Amino acid sequence: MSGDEGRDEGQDEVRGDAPEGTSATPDVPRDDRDDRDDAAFARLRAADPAVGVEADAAGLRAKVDARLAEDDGAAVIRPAAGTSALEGRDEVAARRRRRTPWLAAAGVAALAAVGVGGYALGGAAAPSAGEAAGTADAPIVLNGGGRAGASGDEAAAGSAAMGAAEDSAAGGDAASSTAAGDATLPSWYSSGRALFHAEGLSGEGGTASAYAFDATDAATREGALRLAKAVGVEGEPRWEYGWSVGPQDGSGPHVWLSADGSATFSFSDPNHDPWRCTDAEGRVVQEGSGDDVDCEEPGTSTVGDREARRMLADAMRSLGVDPDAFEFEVGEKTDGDPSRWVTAYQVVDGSRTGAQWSATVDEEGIAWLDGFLATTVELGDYPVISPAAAVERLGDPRFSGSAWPVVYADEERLWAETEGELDEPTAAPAPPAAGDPVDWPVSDVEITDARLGLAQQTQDDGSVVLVPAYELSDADGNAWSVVAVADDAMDFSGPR
Amino acid sequence: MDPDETARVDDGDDTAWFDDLFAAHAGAVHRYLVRRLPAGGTDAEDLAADVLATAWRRRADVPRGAELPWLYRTAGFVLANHRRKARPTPVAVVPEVPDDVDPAALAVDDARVRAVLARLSPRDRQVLLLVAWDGAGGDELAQVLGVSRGGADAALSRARARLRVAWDAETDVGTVAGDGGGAGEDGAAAQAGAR
Repeated sequence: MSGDEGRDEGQDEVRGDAPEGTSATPDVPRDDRDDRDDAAFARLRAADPAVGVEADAAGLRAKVDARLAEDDGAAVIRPAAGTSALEGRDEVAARRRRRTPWLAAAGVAALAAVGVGGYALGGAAAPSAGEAAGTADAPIVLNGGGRAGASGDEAAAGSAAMGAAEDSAAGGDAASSTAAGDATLPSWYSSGRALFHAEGLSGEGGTASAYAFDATDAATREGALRLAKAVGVEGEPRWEYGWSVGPQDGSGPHVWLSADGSATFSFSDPNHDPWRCTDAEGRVVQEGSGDDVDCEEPGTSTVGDREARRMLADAMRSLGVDPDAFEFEVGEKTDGDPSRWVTAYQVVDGSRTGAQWSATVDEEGIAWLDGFLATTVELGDYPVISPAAAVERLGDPRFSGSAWPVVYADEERLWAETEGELDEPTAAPAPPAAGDPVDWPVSDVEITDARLGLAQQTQDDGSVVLVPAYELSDADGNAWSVVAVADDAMDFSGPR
Repeated sequence: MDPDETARVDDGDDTAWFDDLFAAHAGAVHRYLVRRLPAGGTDAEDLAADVLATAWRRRADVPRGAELPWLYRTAGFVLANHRRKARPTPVAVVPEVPDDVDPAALAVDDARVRAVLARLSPRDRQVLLLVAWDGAGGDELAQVLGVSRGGADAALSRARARLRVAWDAETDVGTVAGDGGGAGEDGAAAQAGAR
């Protein structure tokens, strides 16, 4: 969709235009290196309309409770284990509102499916609900080591840390006080500071293989043509921040191939979109009747796990990619979900690399497909430091992103430990006595286990390498990560 | 049967979980909605209450440990529903992932930012604001969008590239303001109204 449409759509809305000159100074967050070379993103971030907004927690809670009180009492108080009452009400709601609940249900299903892929807070190595649960080790995500760049690697800086930052930035949010007030929580949970020491880890280094992605052949105009042909998209490639083939207005299949270091691509076929409401195409609904368009609700998918895997594997083969180098996981089948979600994780040397393919499939084929077309090339052996030396690196700001783990032991336990009365009268804290030391809590973390694996790292020029990396765990199962390549095989020169 | 007493007896774990969820995320959900609603309205709190009540009703579906992405995603649907009720929308253009941002109505007092957002596709806006404002990233972003991690990374990369291009195209703030429908409410006042 073009931006012009977006603006036309909103012309009846009030537009608040700042007086010239008052808003022209970019407020670049000082803690975000990436923003320095991206003024647009920094300005966008600085324009956050919710800066300084505080929810009235008590008022909001009262409104939530009022809504729940309107529910059928039995359904509200029934334990989650017996959800039949809840489901019954959801069906009623679905009939009443027709399409929207299906959108919502689809969201929930997709979420559940993605969850098995490894959301950090849920445990990255959690086994899959699908039949083809993998045996390879989880990919190692380097915390804070990634340079945000062409492949959007700022994500690698750790979503958990971001969430923590948001919570603590929110000052009055109960989140920070809930965590800080409970001494049973690990102290990095509230302070974000930690010192690490190794217990019983080897001091011997060695060598390990490194790899790189080669996208130079795939991420080309010719590569886009091959890709389009393989997935059945017609048209000539055109450059739109990458190679784009097919209509972008949703009228037919479209594929987009990024010229990044992994040659990632995404394909969508609106004709296979199980939620598409073809009867409503082109119709403009009258005011107040937006919920009444008669669209058939799609039924539960009949595609089996094996069939879903086969569809993705066939697509990979048609693009010259060997599915045997991948582990497949199929998202759990959800009642009412007309499609299945299948993911293939690349495995190198017994470890997942973090690179993956995924597809949403239904009876008629693939509706959405995301993947990468770069080949994996060997870079040979690199010297790696010992596990004990890796723990020392956690205290070296050149390598360590934050005290927050990349893998959490047991988030549910953390939740359980934060139980307590939410809103009781409390006394204000007393000031410290004169000369008292300044509180500066630092967690002491004992690392008892080290696993050498591979981490995907986007280099300064956008090329992607799979580097040896350690996942370092404490006895509880929280894990931190650090690059394992020895100093003399690293280039520490400043950003170019 | 006294509902309150039963809740304590049968539902203690769920109640504690929900209390924690509320304590940890109610503010974030509220801010998510403030960011995406016209300035000065009182809808954000009501919609936040809807989202949180939904979290309780669907607590069996809320992934433990990944509550916030679930809440953001649900808030997107609640917001889309709210918009559909507020004004006529062709259902044919309701995407599978709702456009949860209306750039013209955003309570943003930076004219250039708003103009640039209006140039972007709904999907790009959604991705950018989740990252720039809501602090979502990586797997969290993927879960909010309901796509794979790779897909989310690619979507963010694309959105950032297009943002840079749109930013450079909107060099003259004055021209943009005129183009966008003339002088509206003062931006600073609009933002103040959101508080």
